Amino acid sequence: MKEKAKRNLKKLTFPTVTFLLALFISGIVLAVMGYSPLKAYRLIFLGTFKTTSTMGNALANSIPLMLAGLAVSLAGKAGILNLGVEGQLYIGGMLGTVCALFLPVQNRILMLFLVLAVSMLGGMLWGGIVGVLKAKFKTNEVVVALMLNYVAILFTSYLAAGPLKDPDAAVNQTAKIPENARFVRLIPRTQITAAIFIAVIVSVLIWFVFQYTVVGYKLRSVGSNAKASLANGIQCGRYLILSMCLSGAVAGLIGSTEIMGKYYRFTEGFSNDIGFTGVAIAALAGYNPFAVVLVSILFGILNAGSLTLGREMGVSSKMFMVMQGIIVLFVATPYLLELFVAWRRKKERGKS
Amino acid sequence: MKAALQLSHITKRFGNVTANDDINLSIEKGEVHCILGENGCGKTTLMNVISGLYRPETGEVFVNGEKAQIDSPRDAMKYKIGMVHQHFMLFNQNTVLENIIVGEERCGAVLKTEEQRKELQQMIDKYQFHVNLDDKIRDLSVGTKQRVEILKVLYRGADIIIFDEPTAVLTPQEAEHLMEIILELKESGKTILFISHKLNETLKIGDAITVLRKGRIVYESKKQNTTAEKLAFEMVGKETKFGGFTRNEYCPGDPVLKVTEVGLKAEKKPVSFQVRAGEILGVAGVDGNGQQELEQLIVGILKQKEGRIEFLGRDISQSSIIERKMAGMAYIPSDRLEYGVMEGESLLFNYLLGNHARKGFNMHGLIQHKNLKLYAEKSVSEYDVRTVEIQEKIGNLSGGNQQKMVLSRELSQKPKLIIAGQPTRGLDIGAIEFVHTMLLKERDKGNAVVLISAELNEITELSDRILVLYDGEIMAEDAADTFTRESLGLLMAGKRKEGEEQ
Amino acid sequence: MQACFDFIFLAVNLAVPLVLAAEAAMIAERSGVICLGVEGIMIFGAFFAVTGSYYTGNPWLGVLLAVAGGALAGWIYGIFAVTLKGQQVVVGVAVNFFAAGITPMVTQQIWGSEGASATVNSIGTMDLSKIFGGSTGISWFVFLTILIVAGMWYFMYKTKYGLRLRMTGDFPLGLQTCGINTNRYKLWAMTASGILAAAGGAYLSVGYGNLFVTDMVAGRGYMGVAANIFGGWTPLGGAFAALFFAVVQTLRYTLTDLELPSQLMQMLPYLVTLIALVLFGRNSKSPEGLGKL
Repeated sequence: MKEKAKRNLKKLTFPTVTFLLALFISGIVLAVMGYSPLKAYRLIFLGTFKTTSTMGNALANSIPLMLAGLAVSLAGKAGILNLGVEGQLYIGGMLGTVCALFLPVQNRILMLFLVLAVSMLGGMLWGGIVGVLKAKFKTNEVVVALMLNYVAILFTSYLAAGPLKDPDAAVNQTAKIPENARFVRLIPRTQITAAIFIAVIVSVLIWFVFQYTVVGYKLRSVGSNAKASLANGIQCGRYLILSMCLSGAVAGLIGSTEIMGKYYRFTEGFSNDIGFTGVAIAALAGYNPFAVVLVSILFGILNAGSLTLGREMGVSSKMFMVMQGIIVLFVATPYLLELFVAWRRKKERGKS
Repeated sequence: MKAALQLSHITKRFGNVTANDDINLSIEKGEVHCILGENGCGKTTLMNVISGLYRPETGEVFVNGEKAQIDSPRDAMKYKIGMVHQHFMLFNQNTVLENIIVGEERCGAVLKTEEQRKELQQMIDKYQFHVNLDDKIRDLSVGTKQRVEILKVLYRGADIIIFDEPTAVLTPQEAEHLMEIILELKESGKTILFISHKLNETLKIGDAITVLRKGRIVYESKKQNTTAEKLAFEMVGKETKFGGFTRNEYCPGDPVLKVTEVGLKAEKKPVSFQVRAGEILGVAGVDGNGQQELEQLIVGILKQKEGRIEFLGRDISQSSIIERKMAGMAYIPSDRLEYGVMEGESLLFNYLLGNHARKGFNMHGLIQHKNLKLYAEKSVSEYDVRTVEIQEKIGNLSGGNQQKMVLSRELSQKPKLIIAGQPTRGLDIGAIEFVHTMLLKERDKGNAVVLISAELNEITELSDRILVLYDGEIMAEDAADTFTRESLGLLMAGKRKEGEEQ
Repeated sequence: MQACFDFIFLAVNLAVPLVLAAEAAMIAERSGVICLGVEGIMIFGAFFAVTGSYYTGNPWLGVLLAVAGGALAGWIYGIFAVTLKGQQVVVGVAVNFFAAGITPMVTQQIWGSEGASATVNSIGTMDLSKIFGGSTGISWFVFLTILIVAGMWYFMYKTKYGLRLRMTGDFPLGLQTCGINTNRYKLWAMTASGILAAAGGAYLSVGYGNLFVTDMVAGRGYMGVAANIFGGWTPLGGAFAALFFAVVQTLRYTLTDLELPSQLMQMLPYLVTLIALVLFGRNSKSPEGLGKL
C-alpha cells in the first residue's frame, strides 16, 4: 500500500513541477514585456476568489475546457492525438443550434436532450472521418484533423453568414435560440449551468469505460501497441475509429453546452481555441479523466484571470495561449525534468 | 611482443546492473580471439565499449601498448578498430557503395566516388566477396549484407576487427564461407575478435578462447588446451547435458492443423502440411524465408488469399484471430516486443491480452478484475515469472521473464495447438531450457506444436518431424531422424541433394 | 490570354510560402524529426520580417531578421524535439501554440493592436505589365524559391552531408556506428527547417503583403507538411505538391464570377489538401526512422 501511495505521489510530482515551471517561464515572458509577474499572478489567483460571481465564472469557463480535455484524453488513450476538437465542436454547435431553432419541441428536458444528442452526433461524424481516414488510408491524423478544423469553421461560418444569418445582426450569427432550449443557470450572475454536471458525468463515464469494460481495455491496448493488439484479435482499425467517434462526440457536446448555456446563438469564431486548450489540459493531466477535471478548473481560473489581466493591466488575453504552449512543451519533454533532478542530486552530493 | 588490444579493469554498469565487471583481457596481434558466453553475459556490451558506443565507468583500453581514449566509434576507427555488428548497420534505401563510404567519404562536400569505387573493387576481388557496389542493400541476401559490413570495416583501414555473433543469421554453408573469409583476414595480418555463444564455432576458428559469464571473465585458454565440455561447463557454470530432455514415445494422434495450398510469398509454390496431436513439427529455415508469413497466416494476422486452413477438422480460413484463439490456438510470436507484449503496460494488462473474450474474464463486456487477478497471479507463479507484483510494467522485466509471461498467458488457457515462433530468441540459457521443457510438456499432453526456429539445435532436439522452408516454399518434410545437420543446412540454403527433382 | 497570365502569376506568387513550408517540412522529416511546428515558425517569420522592416525601413533587412529568428526558433525547437527527446508531435503543437500566442502579444506592445501591425515597406513584385499587360507581377521571392528548391535537391542527393542526412532519417543508429553524431545533423536540419519556414512567413508579411496580421499564416504550415507527405518526402515532389495546392488557392480568387460565398471558396484549398493526402499520401514512403533518435 505504501508503495502505491508513493507511486501516486510520484505521478503527481511531474505535472505539478511542470505547471510551476511553466508559470515561472510565463512570468519571465511577462517581465520582459514590462509587466509585473507577481502582480499578474496575484490578480489571477486572488481575483478569482474575490466574489461568488468571479469564482462562478472561472468555474463556468472550465466547463468547455473539461469536455475538450476529456475528448483529447479519450482519443489519446487509444493512441491518437485529436487536434480536431475545435472543428468537431463547431459542427456539433451548429447542428445543435439548428435543432434548437427549428425543432417544434416545447419540453425543455426533451429539447436539450435532442440538442445534445444531435451535436454529439455531429462531432462524432466529424471526428469519425479522422479515424476512418487513419484506419483505412493510414493518413496522418494530425494534418487531417487540422484541415477538417478549417473546413468546419469556414462551413459553419458560411451558414451563420448566409442561410441562417440573423438579419438584424452586424456580425455573422444566427438568431437567438428559444428559451426552452437554454440551460438553466445554477447560480445567478454567473454562467454556471447544468452543463457542469454533464462534464463531470462524462469524466466518470470515461473512467468507468477504461477501468471496467472490455471495450475500454481494447481501446487502451490499441493505443499501447497496435501490432500486439492485432495479433491478439483486437481489430485496431475498428477501435481507432471508435475512439475518434467517441472523442468527437464529447467534443461535439462542447458546441451545444456553450451555445445553450452561454451565448444563446451560434456566432462565428465563438470557440476561441477551446479545442487546443483541451490538448494542453489532457497532456498535463496525463489522460486521466479525473485529473482532467481538476486541471480544467485550474485552466478555467487562468482563463478568467487572463481576462482580468487584460482589464486591469492591459496584458493581452493571448497570454493564456502562451502559457499553454509552454505547458505543452514541458509536458512533451519529461527528459528535461529528469536532467534537472539528476543535476540537483549531483549538486547535493557535491555538497556532502 | 605487445598485445594488439588490451583491456584493463573495464567495468560498465546500466543502472543497477553490472554488465561488465572488472574485465582484463589481452589479445595478441594476428590471432583470432574468441569471446564465448551465453546471451546476456555481457559480450556485446564489452564490444560496444571497445568500439566506442558505450563509455565504461572504469578501466582502460590499450592499443598496441598505448593507452587509447575511445569515446565514440570515430575514435575507435582512429585506432583502427572496426566492428561487424550482429544487427546489420546498413541503410536499405542506399547502394552498397554509399553504405560503405558514409562517414568516411574522402571527398569535399560534393560527393565524388571514382577513387573509392576503384579501391573497393580491388578489395572485393581480393577477398572474392561477390558484391556489386551499385546494388541497393534492400535487394541483398543476408550473407551478402554481412560481406558489405566487412567491406565497410576494411575500407576504414581496420587492423582489429570485431565480429559480433556473425553466424547467428547465416546458414551453415554461409557460415562456412565466413570462416574462410576470417582466416583470410587473419592471413593478411588482421587481428580478429570473434564473439559467439556457439561452442563448436569458437573451437574451430579461435586461437585463444575467453569465456564470459554474468559480466565476468571466468576462463581463458589457448585452443589446444581446452575441450568442448570444459568450455560448456565454464559458460553455464554447471554441468550441462546435451539434449537431455525426457519425452514420451512418439505416438501422434489425429491431425490438429491442416494447411492446404496456402501461398506464403507471391508467385511461389503454395505450401501444404499438417500437424497432429502429440507431435512437434519443427519449421527450419533462415530468417525471412516465409516463417513470419506462415505463423501470421495460421494465427490469422495475415489475410489468407488462397488455399485452406483446417483446425481440429473445421475450416478456419475465414475465422477471425479471436475465434481461432477461442478454439484453442496459442501463439508465441517471433517478434515478442512487437506482437507479444505491451511494454508500457502491467503484467495484468498483458495477461488479459488475447484472453479478453474468455468468459471468466469478460462478463457482458465488463472485465472480471477479481477473477483475472487470481488467474494471472496463479499462472505467473506457475510459469516462474520473476516479478515484484502483478502491477509491474512488463517492460521492466528481462526478456526471459517477458517470454515466460507470454507462455503463461498462452498456455494456461489449455490450447490444442501452439504456434511458437522463434520462442527462445535472445533468451538466457535458463529461460531457453524452460521454454523447451514447456513445449515438450504440451506435446506429451497430446497437443500439437509448430516450432518455427532458425536455431538448428533447437529444431533437431525438439522436433518429431521437420519441415524446411526456403524462399516461401517447402524444401523438405520428413521425420526428424532422417535429417542430419548437414542436410538441413543445405536445404535451408535452398539446395537439394543431387538427383532429386525440383 | 490576359486572364491566363494573371492566373499563372497569382498561382506562382501564392505557391511561394507553401513551397517553402514544404521544403522546411522535408528537410526536418528527412532527418527523422516529425515536424508539425512549421506553422508556428512561419508565424514567427512573418512577425520578425515586419518588425525588421518597421524599424529599419528596409524589407530585405526584415527578411534577414526573420531568417535569423527562424534559425533560432528552429534550433530551439530542435533542442526540445531531439536533444531533450521530447515527443515530437506534441512539441510541434506546443511551438504552434506559443507562436500564435506570443506574436499578437508583442504586436500589441509595439503597435498597440493585437490583431495587426502597422503597414511597413514591402518588397513588392517585379512589374511584368509591360510584357504581359494586366496588373499582377511576380514576386522577387519566386526566383529565390526556385533557387532554394534546386539547391535543396542538389544538397540532398549530390553532397555527402545530404547523404548523411537521408541516412540519419532512415536509420540513425546505423550512422552512429559510423562515428557520426546524428543528433547534430537533426539539429542542423531543424535549424535549416526554421530558416525555410521563417522565409515563407516573411514572404507573407513583407514579400507579398505589407503588414503582420495575427491569423495570416492560416494553416499554410500544415499544408506544407501535407505537401511534403504528398510529394513523397522529396524536395522536388514537395515543391510540385505545394504548387498544386497553390493553384487551388488561386481558383478562389479567379472564380469570383461564380459568386460562391467566400467562406466556401476559402474552404477549397483545405478540402483539396485533405483529398490529396487521402488519395496519394498512402503511396508515398516516409523516412524509415521518422520520430526515432
